[in-house]
Amino acid sequence: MPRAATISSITERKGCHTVAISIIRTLILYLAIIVSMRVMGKRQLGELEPAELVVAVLISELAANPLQDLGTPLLYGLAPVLTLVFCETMVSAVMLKNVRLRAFICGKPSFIVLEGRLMQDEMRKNRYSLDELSEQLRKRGILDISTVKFAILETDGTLSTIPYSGDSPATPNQMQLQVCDADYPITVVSDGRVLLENLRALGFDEAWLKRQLRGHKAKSPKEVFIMSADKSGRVYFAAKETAQ
Amino acid sequence: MKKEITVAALFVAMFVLAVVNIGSVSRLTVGVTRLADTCAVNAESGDWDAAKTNALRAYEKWRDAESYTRLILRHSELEDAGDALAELLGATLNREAGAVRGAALMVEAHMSNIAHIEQIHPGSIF
Repeated sequence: MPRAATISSITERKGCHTVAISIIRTLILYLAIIVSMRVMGKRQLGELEPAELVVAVLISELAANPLQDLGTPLLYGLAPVLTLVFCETMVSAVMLKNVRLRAFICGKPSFIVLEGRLMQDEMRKNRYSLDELSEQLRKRGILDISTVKFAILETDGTLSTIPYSGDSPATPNQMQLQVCDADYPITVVSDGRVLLENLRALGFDEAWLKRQLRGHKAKSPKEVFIMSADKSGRVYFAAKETAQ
Repeated sequence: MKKEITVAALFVAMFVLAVVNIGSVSRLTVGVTRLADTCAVNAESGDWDAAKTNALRAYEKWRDAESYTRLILRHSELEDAGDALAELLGATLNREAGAVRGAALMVEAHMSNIAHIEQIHPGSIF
């Protein structure tokens, strides 16, 4: 092969490899981060405590660097991610046992409204403005601050509100009404597929399912979009709609 | 608790491997530096056969470790060190004693840089 052709073939192959390498690196980091988030638990996915926010931000930054620069070894991204997962897992485990450490890392909830009184010192300490308080109350459907007995600024930054009993919705117990507790409905047919494990967990069998399908004029589970049931036998059924 | 133990074990394993890696990189860089220096001494004394053997050994030692070093070192550092070793080999084959000494010094500087970055000390941390 002439020298020029050899050089051009090497260059082309190198370019092709670079793309493949970046795809493989992305897949590895994607898996590593999914596993990390799963190890750190569900709390990581919802409202974040200060320490969790730090970890989430750092992980995204650390993962981005080896993805953008192929000259950086992948280990430079993976090792810090594993270190952060280690720190977060250990700190959470210790925080379960040690209240002081939890207070130090996550802080303590603050009463913004205590017994109907606005705690201005706490608001100043938390740099929590009246506008923010009004916004959070509005989001909870509270327009009149005088109806709030307690408002607590939680460690994840959310505001919990407890209204005076007179301003709370009446419960069936207060109204002395007899109500049945609802059972948890479980899906037994999903998009035409029978979930046998769920069916058995409810204590039903395939004969029961066939009866239910007949009752809803369905010839087979394939005609069902979703069907769920609870232990009392209450069934929700939605047939599959044919495509237009 | 199982999850915490697994994560802690993984972290300890990673830390141990990182410490082992420091030793490996140190051995590799010291070995290559010694060969380059011996090559320069041979060249200065006019023993070009020995100089060529040592330059080749240094170059091959570095190339043989490439699959390992690519996992743990920035690729730009590897390329710079590889270039310096190629220069050392070229100068030896051309029998230019001054150029051989210069290339050996360049190899030493790159190797020392790489070893220094891998060591744990305040300078590399901050």
